[in-house]
Amino acid sequence: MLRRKVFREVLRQGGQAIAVALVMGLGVMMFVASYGGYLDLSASYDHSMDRMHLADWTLALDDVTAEEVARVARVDGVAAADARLVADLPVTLPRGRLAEDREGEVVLQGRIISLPDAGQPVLDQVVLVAGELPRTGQVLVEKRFARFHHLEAGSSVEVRVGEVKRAFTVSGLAVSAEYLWVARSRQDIFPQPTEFGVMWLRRSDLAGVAKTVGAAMMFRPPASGTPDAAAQALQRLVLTASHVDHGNELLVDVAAGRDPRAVLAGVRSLLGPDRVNEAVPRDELVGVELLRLDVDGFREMAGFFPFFFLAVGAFIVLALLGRMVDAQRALIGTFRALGLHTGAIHRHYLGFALVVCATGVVPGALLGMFASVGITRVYAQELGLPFVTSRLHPELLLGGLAMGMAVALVAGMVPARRASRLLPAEAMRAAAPAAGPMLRWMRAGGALPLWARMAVRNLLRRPGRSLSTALGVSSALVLLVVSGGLVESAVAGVDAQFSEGLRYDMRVDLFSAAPADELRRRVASLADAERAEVLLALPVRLATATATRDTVLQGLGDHAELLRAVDFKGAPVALAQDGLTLSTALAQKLGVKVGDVLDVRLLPDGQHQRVPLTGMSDLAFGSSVTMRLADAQRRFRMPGLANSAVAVARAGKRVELRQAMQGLDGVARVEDAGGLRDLVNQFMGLTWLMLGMMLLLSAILAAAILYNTASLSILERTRELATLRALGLDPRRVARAVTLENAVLALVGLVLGYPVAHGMFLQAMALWTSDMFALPPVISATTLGVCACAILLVLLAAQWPALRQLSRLNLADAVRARE
Amino acid sequence: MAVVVSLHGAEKSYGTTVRTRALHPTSLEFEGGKVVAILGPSGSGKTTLLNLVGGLDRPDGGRVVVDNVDISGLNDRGLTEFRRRTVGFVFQFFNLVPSLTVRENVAFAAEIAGLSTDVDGVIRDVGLAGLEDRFPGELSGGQQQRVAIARALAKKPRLVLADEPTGALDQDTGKQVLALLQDAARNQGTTVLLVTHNTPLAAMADRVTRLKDGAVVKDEMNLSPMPIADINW
Ligand SMILES: Nc1ncnc2c1ncn2[C@@H]1O[C@H](COP(=O)(O)OP(=O)(O)OP(=O)(O)O)[C@@H](O)[C@H]1O
Ligand SMILES: [Mg+2]
Repeated sequence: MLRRKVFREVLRQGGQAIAVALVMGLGVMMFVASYGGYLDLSASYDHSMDRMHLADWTLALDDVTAEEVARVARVDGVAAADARLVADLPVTLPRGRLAEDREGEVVLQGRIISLPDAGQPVLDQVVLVAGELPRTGQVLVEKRFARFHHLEAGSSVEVRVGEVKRAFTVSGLAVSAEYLWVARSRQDIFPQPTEFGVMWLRRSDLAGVAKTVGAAMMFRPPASGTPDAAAQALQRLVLTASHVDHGNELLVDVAAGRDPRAVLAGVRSLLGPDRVNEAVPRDELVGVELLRLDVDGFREMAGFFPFFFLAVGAFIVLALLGRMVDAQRALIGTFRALGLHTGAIHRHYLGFALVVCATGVVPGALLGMFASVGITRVYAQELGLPFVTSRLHPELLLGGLAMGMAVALVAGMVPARRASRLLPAEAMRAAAPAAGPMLRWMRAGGALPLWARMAVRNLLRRPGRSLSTALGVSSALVLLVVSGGLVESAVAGVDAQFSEGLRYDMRVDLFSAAPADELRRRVASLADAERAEVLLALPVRLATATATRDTVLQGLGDHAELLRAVDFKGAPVALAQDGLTLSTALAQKLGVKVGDVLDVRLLPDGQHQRVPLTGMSDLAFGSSVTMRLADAQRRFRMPGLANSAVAVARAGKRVELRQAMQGLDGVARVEDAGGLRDLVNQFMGLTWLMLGMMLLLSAILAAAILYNTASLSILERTRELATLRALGLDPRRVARAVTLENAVLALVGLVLGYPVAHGMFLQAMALWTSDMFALPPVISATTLGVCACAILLVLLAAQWPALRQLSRLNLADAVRARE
Repeated sequence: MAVVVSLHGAEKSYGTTVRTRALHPTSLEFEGGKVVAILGPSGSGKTTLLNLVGGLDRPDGGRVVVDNVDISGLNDRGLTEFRRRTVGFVFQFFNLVPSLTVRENVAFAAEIAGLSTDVDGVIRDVGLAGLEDRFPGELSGGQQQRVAIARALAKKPRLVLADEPTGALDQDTGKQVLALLQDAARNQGTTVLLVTHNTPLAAMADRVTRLKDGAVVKDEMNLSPMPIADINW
């Protein structure tokens, strides 16, 4: 009998029950789907890395011999070792894509990696997507790069320096675990295919290329007395390459169950002191880390949103059931008087909560389980994972179900207990519940008109209920502010970066430094250049007592306009005399603050400087360290020199400027900032999608909370409000009283919610930030105002159905019924 | 005294599939300043009749005229206006606004009707002097019903409709409440329609209308109403 009552009541509470089911169902679905997606993607990624034998350690050295590799392989705890040559060299695509719709000769930087002359390497293997491994005179190119430039087997790729040129034909397309996310370095995580590409050559061919380029460079005596870093690095490469079996990267695989750090120590001691320039564990390879961050996003989503949804669901259940128990006091009393046990009443209301939640949780968990497979497929495709493993996760299904039902149980427990504890006599009393603890306050308010007094006192009459309603509004605010703030920060960050920080169209980097004034004149005199500035870009290793980071130090002119350090609002940051300015995110990673002194070592030759940190800037992408051009020239002994130039193109002449720059003498690479912007926008596209979803979900949640809040506050007083109407009170004035009541609650909720919202927003921003991708938290008064207004509007809209129901109510029935 | 309430073939049915005739076509006329007792067994249509007269519900057919206004032709707004000016309601379960005090409940009704009544005087008349600042939750059932009557009388209505006003009260308290209604009829010329299924109560009324199965089976004047104190039920 009571069971039938449960079902009828679920039906009668239609709107509210749907809201609960929806919110709980979404929460559980998101949990199961995103956690399942995370598990599968993570497994697929691990699987892909294992299948491609991605090394546990990648060591950069000046030179390592085959004999040494063989000895390293025998070190205790080493499972396998391999060496290879890696060189960043200028590459020319005779028919590449200069821009979306322009074909032509493209000069860009190639990361050329050696493959053994026969077969796959032992470690860091490639997966062929098309074609085959390169023979002599052939090159294997990375899939996305190839797709962008429409390269296929037979296409031509050249390495050209000045008049010297070596040409290769494409043998096929491949992916590698290291470059599933193609990043050039930690500073450049979004290189465009117009400026950077990964490719593989036979070891013998790469040695030949290095010699060619090296020879060409020899004819170009350095402008300063001492050779500069890039030239030095090249000389070293040529030297290493000239030995048939030497490499400049040593790859080490650690045996299962061994401590990688200990094994690395063994390798280091075998090689001897100061041989290893840098040792990067697998998980800190830039591409690996970036992809991992992306995949981890799913886990964060699984950890954050579902719980918010469940909490909101619990809140609605609590409010709904609480109201039901209040409304059915007399009935409960009667049941008790009839001899029903408290346990039965307890179970009855708990059952209601469980049934309502289960209608959402069960389909939600099922949907989530199947959706997770789809998510994995789509996303694995997007990430370009060559090996995908996805499966149904019944354990997550059960977990999601258990979680959802546990929430329902806990939320239902409170009102159910209250119901079962009601004494029959008390429950059946006709009188309305006494005013409670706020009684004294309630007599105040004499200045207000009676309808307003009624509204305000209603809030005081049930302080617990009012507070929970206000908290409902607070959580709606938190949701909106957090997701709105994330969106705004992303927009503001990208905008500040591009409109104030990077204001050039095209940038050209030279192999070796040239006199700054001459370089500026050369670039400025290009037909399609409007304005040009020069700078010094030096690869450096920053070190503190506890941390090191490799990055590029940029020496910027005092009146630089086109490339400058900016704060997150886009305001330029003045560079102090003889000091470093670090991006906030990088400073955080290094654990330094203004006033600390950093060890700056020029790569690769190791010139040391100790430079104080004098300022902070904010850049959204890549870590950044800057100092004044004059200071950089002096400290690193490159007086009057610069090796990079930035320029603004005449209107509509971007591609022409790029082509002109490609023709400059000694060009290492050309970067199109417009392309970067497009690429960032494209990347942000995914982020927008996610943020948009977040905003949408937040809005749904907020609406569910507000709908529940508004309609309950009306429906639970149906009889009272109907009586007022019977007495002849205008429906509009009834609405006004109800609206006032909800508005006061909303305001209280907004005030209580604001600090929480702000705190959670900062928290969410911190979660999102790494030293490669940092966005400063920005949230404007406008956004806050819009969120607050949206909440008030939704609240107004949400009470409308209930008010309508009230005005359509059969007054005769409503006034007769006992509460 | 002039006729204040008249029904001309007014009828009402409920339900869509199975239709219940709650009130067969009925014609009745009630004079002003009288207490009319409406009697009948449960389900006989008493409340239905009262709701039609009070403008809480519309007849399916026929006309209901109150104070020379055909209220069966009024729209929602007109009915609201009508209830506000003309009718005072007393409900079985009081229906006071729980968040307003005694004084405020009464004043609110007067305010809705746009009158400035001597609220404290009305409260005194119903014997609640001293309790003006209490909330309904702090009153006994009888006291709450007296507040309800004060609320109904505060706007000096032409018509008071009381549906089982003593239903939730003990006999002595019930008597006090009925006496208040009778006084209103005697002293203010208010017409009181009093629904009850307590036959003995009819002895205090000026007129007794008896319903059965949705039809009037008896309608007669009581030329010598009994003092309320002498009635027992
Ligand atoms: N809203 C409704 N829907 C369907 N039937 C109704 C409705 N209201 C009343 N009825 C039916 O109309 C008839 C008359 O009801 P009414 O409430 O007028 O009786 P009553 O004389 O007031 O009875 P009681 O003394 O029990 O209050 C009854 O048969 C009842 O079942
Ligand atoms: Mg009745």
